[in-house]
Amino acid sequence: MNPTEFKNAVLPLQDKLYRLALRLLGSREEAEDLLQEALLKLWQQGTRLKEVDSIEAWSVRLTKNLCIDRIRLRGKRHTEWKPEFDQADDSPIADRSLESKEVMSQVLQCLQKLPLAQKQVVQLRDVEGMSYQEICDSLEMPMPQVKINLFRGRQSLKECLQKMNLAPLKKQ
Amino acid sequence: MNSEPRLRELLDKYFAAETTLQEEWELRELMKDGHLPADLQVFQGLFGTLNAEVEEKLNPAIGNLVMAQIEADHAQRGKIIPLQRGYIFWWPRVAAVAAILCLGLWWMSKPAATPENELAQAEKVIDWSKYEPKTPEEAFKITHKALKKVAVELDKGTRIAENMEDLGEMGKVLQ
Repeated sequence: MNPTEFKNAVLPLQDKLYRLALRLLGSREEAEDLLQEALLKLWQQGTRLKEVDSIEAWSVRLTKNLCIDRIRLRGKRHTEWKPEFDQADDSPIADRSLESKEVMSQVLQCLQKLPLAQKQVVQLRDVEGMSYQEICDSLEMPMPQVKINLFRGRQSLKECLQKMNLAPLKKQ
Repeated sequence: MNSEPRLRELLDKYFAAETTLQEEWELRELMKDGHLPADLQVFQGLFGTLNAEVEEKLNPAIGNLVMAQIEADHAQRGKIIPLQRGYIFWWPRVAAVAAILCLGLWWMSKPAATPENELAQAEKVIDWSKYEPKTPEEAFKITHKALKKVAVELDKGTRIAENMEDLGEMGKVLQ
């Protein structure tokens, strides 16, 4: 695979991969760092990447695995880790009203509280709009498990939101 | 609100993880309504956040940085002259495989070592015709030598018998 082919096949996926990394790691800086690593790893796979059935599923899987490695490494280091939802200037939350920011921040906290498997499935389905089959292929997860994780994830979100008793989002 | 029953139905299906992508899209559109019942307003934040999440993008500088590294790596790879190992070292591999095959075939075709086979092999090796006498004189010499050897052995037996008799006599004297 040459750089042009890579640019056309993999680079359009970078935002999707970044969002997944951000959701799983909870840190913008760490997600950006991980994405650099993921993209370079995908480049190094070269010919192998050309032979896979779905470059998207392959890339999502690689990103997810790298995220899991990092999360495990955090556990080994025993450092206290708190998810950050920084209000960076380029984040979608930044240009919203204070009230909306508060609501979104609470929703994101609810999302972040989900177990890893549920978080992955909810992210790919509800943010990326992927089909069940695409999620199965990307996460190497059987269909029933995908559906169970989605069901449990959404139920947990519902409970979390009802507890918080969120106000509706203010339109801009 | 006319769409409320449909919205509730879709929400129930959504939380039961039974919605299709089409229904989920419809649900998001209905959730954008500014006049939702109070109990449904709590979920407006969820769908609003999910919609906003899609707008989250990777800093383009990072994509550019990665592409620059990839370009550099690609250019570097172009300069490397790979060793033509395949061309230089193919024949010892072929020779080794051929040798192993020959050894295997020889081993497979070798007859099994049974006692009958070994005897037949030994008889085949000894050429008895070499030991046959060629002239009557030679035959006489061989026969003479053999009879002389037999005579010597027989004579040995007689002497032992004499010695036994002598021992008998000595025993009588001692008594």
